[in-house]
Amino acid sequence: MKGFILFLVIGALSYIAGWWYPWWSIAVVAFLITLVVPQRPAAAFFTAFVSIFVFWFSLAFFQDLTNDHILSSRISELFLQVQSPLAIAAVSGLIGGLVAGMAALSAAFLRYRPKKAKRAVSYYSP
Amino acid sequence: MRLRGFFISLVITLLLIFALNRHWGQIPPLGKFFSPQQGFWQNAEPVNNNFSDNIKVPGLSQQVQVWLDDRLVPHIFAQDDADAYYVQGYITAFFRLWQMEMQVRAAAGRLSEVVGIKALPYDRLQRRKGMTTAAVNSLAAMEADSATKAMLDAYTAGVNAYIQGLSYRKLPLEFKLLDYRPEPWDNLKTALLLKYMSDILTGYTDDLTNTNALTRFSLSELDRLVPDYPDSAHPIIPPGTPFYRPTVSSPVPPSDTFQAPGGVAFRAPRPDRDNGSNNWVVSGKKTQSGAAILSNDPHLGLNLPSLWFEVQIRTPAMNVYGASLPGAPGVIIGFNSFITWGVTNAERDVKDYYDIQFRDPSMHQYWLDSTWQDAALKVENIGIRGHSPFLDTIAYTVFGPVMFDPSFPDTVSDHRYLAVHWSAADSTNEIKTFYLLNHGRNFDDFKRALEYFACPGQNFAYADASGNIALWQQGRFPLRYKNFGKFILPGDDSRYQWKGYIPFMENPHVLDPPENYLFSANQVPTDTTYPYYYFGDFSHYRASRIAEVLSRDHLFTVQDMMRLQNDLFNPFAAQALPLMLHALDTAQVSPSLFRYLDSLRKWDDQQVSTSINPVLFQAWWDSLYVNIWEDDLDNSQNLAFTRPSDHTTIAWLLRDSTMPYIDDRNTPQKETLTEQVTGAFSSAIKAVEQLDTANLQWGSYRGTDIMHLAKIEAFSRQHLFTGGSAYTVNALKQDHGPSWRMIVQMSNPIEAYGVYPGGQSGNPGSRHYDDFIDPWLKGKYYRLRVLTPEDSASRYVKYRLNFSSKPSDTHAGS
Repeated sequence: MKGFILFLVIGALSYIAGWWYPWWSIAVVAFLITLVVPQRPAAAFFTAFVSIFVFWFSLAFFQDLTNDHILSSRISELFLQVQSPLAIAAVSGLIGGLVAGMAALSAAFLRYRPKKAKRAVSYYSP
Repeated sequence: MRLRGFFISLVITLLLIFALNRHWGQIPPLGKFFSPQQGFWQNAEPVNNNFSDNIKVPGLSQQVQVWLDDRLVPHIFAQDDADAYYVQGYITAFFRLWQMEMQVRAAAGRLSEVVGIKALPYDRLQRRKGMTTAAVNSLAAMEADSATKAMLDAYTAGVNAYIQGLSYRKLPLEFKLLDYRPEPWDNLKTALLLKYMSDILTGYTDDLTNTNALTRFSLSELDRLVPDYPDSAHPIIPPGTPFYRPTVSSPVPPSDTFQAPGGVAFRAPRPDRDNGSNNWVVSGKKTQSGAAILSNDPHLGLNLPSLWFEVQIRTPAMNVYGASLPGAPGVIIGFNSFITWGVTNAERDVKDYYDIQFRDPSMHQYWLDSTWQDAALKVENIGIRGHSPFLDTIAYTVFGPVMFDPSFPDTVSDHRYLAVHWSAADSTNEIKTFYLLNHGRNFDDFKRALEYFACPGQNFAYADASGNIALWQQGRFPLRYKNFGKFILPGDDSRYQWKGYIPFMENPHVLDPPENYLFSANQVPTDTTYPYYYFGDFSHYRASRIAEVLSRDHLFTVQDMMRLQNDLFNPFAAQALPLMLHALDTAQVSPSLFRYLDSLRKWDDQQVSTSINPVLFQAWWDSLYVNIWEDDLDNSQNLAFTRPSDHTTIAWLLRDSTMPYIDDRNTPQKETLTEQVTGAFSSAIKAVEQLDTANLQWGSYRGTDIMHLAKIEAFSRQHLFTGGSAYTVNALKQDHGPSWRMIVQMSNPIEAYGVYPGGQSGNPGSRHYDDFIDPWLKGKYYRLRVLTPEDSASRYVKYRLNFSSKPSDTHAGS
């Protein structure tokens, strides 16, 4: 549940930031959110990656639908040698997701403290 | 441990952002480019995009309305000319900014800044032609005239108003892909754009290859291989039209012995020699409607975005519709309520080369009239993306810039310094011609407009609402004596400079001929009674076909004109094939090829896309041409010789089937025409047989590609299934053809039709990018609609843009 809420928050704030700030504001958002709400590093990466992947992919695909896939077909032909709107939207998602994921991962390492299970052991030592 | 994880992932994050935020070679900044809110997704224009808008810009004196129709043709309504040109600049930039920028960069030799080192040879060539110097010279003339200065200033301001509003998100796609921003526009860029057109139309010249040919052939032999005056029964000015007695005497050659300066290995690219066109006018006496009809289809390289941009401009002083050139104000080919005009290339030689003798490789001084003259040295700084700039030193002489020197191009022969003298370098104001034509009302206005037109020489066709028709070959053509300027000229003798021009009124022209029709298809302009000597790269076959059709006793309609513009009859095939079939020795032909022979025998000479016959004919002729000429034009020094035209070849063979060049000089025996024709048939048709695995047709064998300006295949339309050749009226080639087709009937109301292979939008993400190509392919036309302010509720008006002046800050408060 926490993951899902973070997924939504990162996506929404990135969207808002994306209108005013450059594309890498997704990294700043992912970093800050993960600072404020720490998770295990793997989970942090995963949440941010999926959030931005879905968010970029959906935005792209929506734009693409209204455009009747004209541009996405051309761009995918240019980069992937095949005309595939889905593939090129996925590439967008991958790029954004990777950057956001890495930013979240950094913040997770900075903030996240593993639970101190070892304390129970030292309690009984003489 | 935690901290180590933090630093590693932070560094990777930052590196990723860095790497994805800049371009690497041809790869754009991927993070920016693929971002849905900033990158290319923002250029994915919705198919039902609403273009209507209220636009506030600085510098307008009053409100301007622009109505876009369903093809995105802007209809501009302004209260004065300056506002109209301003908005023309804005709206053209709105749709075609990248194209405007790119073409001007190409003209100025600044492609390497954006594209990298592969464009360096091209950029060097453009600088060495003196393109920017030419533009600067013409700009001085354009700005000295108050009307054209106002026109340019307004257009520039409009373009800049658009550029200023552009955030990264709103940039045209190619700027994002190539990762650069548009520069501010200025009047010089408009001048450069016009020189770009001049280059396309007059840049082609045979001077160097002619000079090479003189190392093998004598002058009189060369005269037969590349005749000045090819057989033509259809000059532009009808035979029998009287010419003015010349008021200027032609210069005489300095001496009667001609020095051949020796060969050059010439590698620089030349414009397409078929950069020509068709136009014709028919007076009301020969039309169904009783009104004159004008047709024009300029033949140019086909690219996306298209060279042309349709527009209507209406002010109290003018109401003009037609094709404009993105980057220049006004309408270039079109019509208004009173007159209509169109252009074809005159093909006259206005570019000469001079052999310069420098004192030493520093190029500081050259020998002229028995003394050492100082050359002006200019260093061109050519910026190259990803490299340090290239510095190119170009020497300027009295003749012009030294285009070729040992540093450019790589010569195989001894070092040559060649200066180029080119009509386009003069200080002339061609934009005034279009200004006056756009405002013109009658033949006198047309004449006054043409007086400003210097380069490139064009055949201006004219028709008006009163029923007059005219054709005028206009340009500043140098006075020549026989062969003067056909070869490289001595650069050490000022007697070989140009000695003046043919006076304006003595250029070939005719008004209301008794035949009631006129046409030009790049053929010779006059018969031999014209008092001035000229030469050029003239065509023959399209003119013969147009003459054949227009001379018929028939009342022509607009539909007849459409049919003629799309005509695929091949007059060259009609002339050559009978001779080839007659000379063929069928006993020597392999039986497997008989079906191809039968097919050719039944061919109706229609160069249609669906037939195999054009393939067979072309292959056979090409092979025969090689058999005849290759042995004679081949040489050990690898010099390029001027090639005799197909027309010269077939005309000669028809006159004399034993002409000397038939023989292959590399074989001991003397070949006959029959042997060459038969040999050509066997080798060529056998090769075609190998290709003919499944219904081989001309449309796929040759076809047409309309390439994006940056040669990006994904933004191009390739493998279009087309017919035609350079010899059909519908002159389609592989990357070249009718770039605009227009037919205007000067009836009341005016009935006009047009189409070009592209779309009004330069955005590859728009459905209006290439939507005209399919109709153009099928020979269809759009009705060109001239709207009036009363048409506000018309169903043709789809979007409205209201331009008003941005209030200036000083008005705030008191």
